[in-house]
Amino acid sequence: MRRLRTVTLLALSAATVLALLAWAGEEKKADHPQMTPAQMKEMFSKCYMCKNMVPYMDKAWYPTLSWEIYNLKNGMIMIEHVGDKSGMAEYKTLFASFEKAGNEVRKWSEADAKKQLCEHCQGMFSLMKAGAVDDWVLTKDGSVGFFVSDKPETVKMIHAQADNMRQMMGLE
Amino acid sequence: MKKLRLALILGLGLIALASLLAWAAEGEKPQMTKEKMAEKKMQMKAEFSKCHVCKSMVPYMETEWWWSTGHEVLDLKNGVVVMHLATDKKYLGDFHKMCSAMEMAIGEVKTMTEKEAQGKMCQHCQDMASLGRSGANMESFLTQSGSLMVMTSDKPENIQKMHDLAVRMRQMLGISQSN
Repeated sequence: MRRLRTVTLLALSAATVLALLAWAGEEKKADHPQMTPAQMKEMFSKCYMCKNMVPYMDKAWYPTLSWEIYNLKNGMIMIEHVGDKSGMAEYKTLFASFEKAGNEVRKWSEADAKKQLCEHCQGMFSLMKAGAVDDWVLTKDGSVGFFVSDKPETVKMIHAQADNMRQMMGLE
Repeated sequence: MKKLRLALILGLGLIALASLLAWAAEGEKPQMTKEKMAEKKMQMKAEFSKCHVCKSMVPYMETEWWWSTGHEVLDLKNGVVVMHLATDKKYLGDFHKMCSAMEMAIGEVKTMTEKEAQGKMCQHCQDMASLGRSGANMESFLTQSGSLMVMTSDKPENIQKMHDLAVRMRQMLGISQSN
């Protein structure tokens, strides 16, 4: 249950970042600077996890989200900050909806995941399937999530996912 | 080394919390006089000075930012996350400098025998060191808003120890897990 929650939240983070970067593309040339908010919404709507963000993408607090992603020797940790604290109540609702969707995704087969998740969320799904332990908790200004494993090959996968996320979010 | 670093950062967090609580008590206890606060501060400094790790914080206890450091101690299903937040980003550099000093002190403690270390650390830092010795995964690093420590374990008895430690930390810091 927590794993799914993590996946969901991670997906949310990544999607949010993507959206944010694309949307705020004037300031940061992100991976999808050519995308308009409408295009981003359309893209997110296609992913079972990311679509949970769509109702919040027009909110004032949404573009104030920021992230930190750190490698751990046995995994990674992700910190998400809501810059505009007035958005925390809605952020918690979003967190809960991701948790709910994540619990459903957890029951899926890999084929289902491939069909209904974006590439990023598929990556998170793969980590879970590989047996990574994850957890995600709300903080005063957002949330903290992590993936860890005692299997070196899974840790390698987690680090690769962390690299992808940092690249996608322009956090290098 | 990372375990010790964690212990240091945790120690710092606890200290900061304790001092913060004592100092910020003015909000709830407006009758606390300046003299009383100064006395408390002196007591804390004296206490911290006795711990090889915590004493790294003493030079910073004269600053206002030190007393306003924020903390979050969150239970994970297999461990604990501790976040220390420099509330005024202007002093983030100083905060990080202090963390580095603590890390160095932890490195020194690591070269000591268990017995030597026991006599030179406060109870909290001893508890952290003990978790490290029992095989817990402990890592800490500087963040954009302060520092973060995560400790995890796959051993239920270690997880219980971590959660117990987290309860004591929250109690000491006057904070709760709920967000």
